[in-house]
Amino acid sequence: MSQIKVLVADDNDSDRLILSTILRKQGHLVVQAANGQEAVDQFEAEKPHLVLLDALMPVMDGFEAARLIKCLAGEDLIPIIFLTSLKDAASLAKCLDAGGDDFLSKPYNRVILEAKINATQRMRQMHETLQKQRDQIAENNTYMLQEQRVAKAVFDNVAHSGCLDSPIIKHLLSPLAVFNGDVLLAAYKPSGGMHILLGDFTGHGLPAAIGAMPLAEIFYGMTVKGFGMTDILREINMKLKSILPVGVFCCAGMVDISFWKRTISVWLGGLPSCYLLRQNGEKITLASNHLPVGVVDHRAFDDSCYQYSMEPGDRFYLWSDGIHEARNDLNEMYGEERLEALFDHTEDHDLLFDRINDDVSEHIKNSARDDDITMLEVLMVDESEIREQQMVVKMGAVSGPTDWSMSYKVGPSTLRDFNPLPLLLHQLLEVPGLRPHSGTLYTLLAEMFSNALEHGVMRLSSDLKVDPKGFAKYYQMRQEGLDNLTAGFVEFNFEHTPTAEGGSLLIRVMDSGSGFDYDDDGVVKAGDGNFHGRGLPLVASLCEYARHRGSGNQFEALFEWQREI
Amino acid sequence: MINSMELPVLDEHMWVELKDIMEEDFGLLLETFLSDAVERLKCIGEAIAVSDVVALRNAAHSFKGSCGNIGAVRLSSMASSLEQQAASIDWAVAETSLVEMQSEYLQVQQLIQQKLPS
Repeated sequence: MSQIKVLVADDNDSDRLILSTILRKQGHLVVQAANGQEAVDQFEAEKPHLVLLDALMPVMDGFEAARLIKCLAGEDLIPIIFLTSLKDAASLAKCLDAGGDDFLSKPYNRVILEAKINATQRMRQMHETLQKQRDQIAENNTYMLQEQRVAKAVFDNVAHSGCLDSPIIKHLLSPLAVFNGDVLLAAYKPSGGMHILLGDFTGHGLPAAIGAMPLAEIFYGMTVKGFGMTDILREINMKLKSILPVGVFCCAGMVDISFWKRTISVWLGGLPSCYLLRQNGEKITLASNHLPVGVVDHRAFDDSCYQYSMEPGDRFYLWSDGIHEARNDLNEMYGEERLEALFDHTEDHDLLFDRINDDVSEHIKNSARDDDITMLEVLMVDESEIREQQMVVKMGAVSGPTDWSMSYKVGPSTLRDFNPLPLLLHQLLEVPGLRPHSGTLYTLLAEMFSNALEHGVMRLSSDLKVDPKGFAKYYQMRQEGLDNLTAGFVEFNFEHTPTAEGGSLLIRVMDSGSGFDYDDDGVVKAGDGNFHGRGLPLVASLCEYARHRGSGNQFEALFEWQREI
Repeated sequence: MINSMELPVLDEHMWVELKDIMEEDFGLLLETFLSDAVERLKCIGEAIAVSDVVALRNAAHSFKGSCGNIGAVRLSSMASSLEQQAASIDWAVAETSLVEMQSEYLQVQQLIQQKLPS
């Protein structure tokens, strides 16, 4: 045992001398006092680690001194051992009652004294460790709360532009829900309608909250730029998949509502089943049919959605598993049955949302909440009722370029190792009205580009692609052709003009090839499939028209888009 | 109750151990004990003179402890009897006990001074 400082208080000089000598020989520092008052004074002045206190002393006895010393020690544990030749139980109990931790009988036994010193010092050190850890925990907790406040402020800035306060939305979300991993986002689309997203990240605290930031940013950023729900989901999935560690993901449900078309599209990944409640009381259950976002690779991501018509007065309900898993004091979960019963027995749908909230709160009233409850109801209304709010958003949104044309020509070395399509698509999507059509536009560009490059510049023949062997041969030739490309070009021409309903985009792709003799007017139809391969008829199926031009080395397609309202 | 007179004046075993513990301070301890003992006996005498039960008991208790630590087991035992009887003591008996303790102290003192390294 390491050296400690011991206060010895005894009015008997010879006793004090013996005890002090023993302690010094054991390697401790000794401070002496001849009565209780001196003991208290010495305690304050010397801050000893251990106090040996005679019970009966003049001026102030040991019991009183022990009480004062324990008071002065405060939270620190300074063991007090009473020195006594008292033998009766009542007297010994009195020593402990006064705050003594142990007693030592006279005459002193060195071995027992040392053992008792060791025992009390173990106790003191344990207490010290405990206090340090307690203080550390308290400090960590303060620090964590501070961090959460900052993180919450950042998150609120990212998620501020939401329209959760819209009159058609009722929602429940705890102020610190983001630290339970729950996220609820809603935004008007520039083309009309609304996007809603409810996410429930695995885990709690900052790890759960951290993914909510990019999620909210992508949701709001892409919605305001006019991207469609599936594009947004794909982007969120790709982002979360790349930034979240394995095992952390986000159960999510996303809703796209069109007040104009009176439809709802719903994508559900890992959330409990959601309900579409018709005004006539019919309840349609939509079960989650996808993996949560952030799990699968973007190539494997499935963006298929439920599609339903919705009449004014119909409602849609979306929730995290907080309701289903809310436990009462018997540890019973609230469960889906109770929820369904509420739906079945509530005639006035206006009351339903509050009923659910009340019923769940009643269920868990005596037990600690183990998961916060996040829930949303959205009411379909006539488009005119919501238009005013949407206008605010529309005016704030960039209208983008409307009447413009652009030409982009790529030569052989660029064709060899650069894919010009993302760059071109990016330009096209500067037009907000084109953003919901990004998938279609990409298909158009990709088909027209490969047609120009492969059949025009490199003069490959589609005839090869009749069987798998031919396919392989074709792609081998394509690669060799590209590697050895020294001449030729592909030129893209775009012309965008505004129309009453939206806009029209003329895409013309020209190549350096010699062309070919096309029939009649060169118009390609959706069903065609002979010498064009499958690409150009696909383009035709997506456009107003598609046709060959010039000597057959040009292909032209007209894509038209309409505003949703 | 043990008869004090059956005990030795000094417990030889404790004496050896104490000498071992105190080493060069052994002489100081014995001198301290002797002067302290005179003081304690005086206190006991004063308590008896004014018939103060509490003072008598405390003084006897304290004397018992210091005698015990030094190995003066007979004197310690006598102080212990006095402490225990204090509450219901016949003051005349107390006077006798004090005289007996004083004479016992002289024996202890004599023995100690014989053994004290000069």
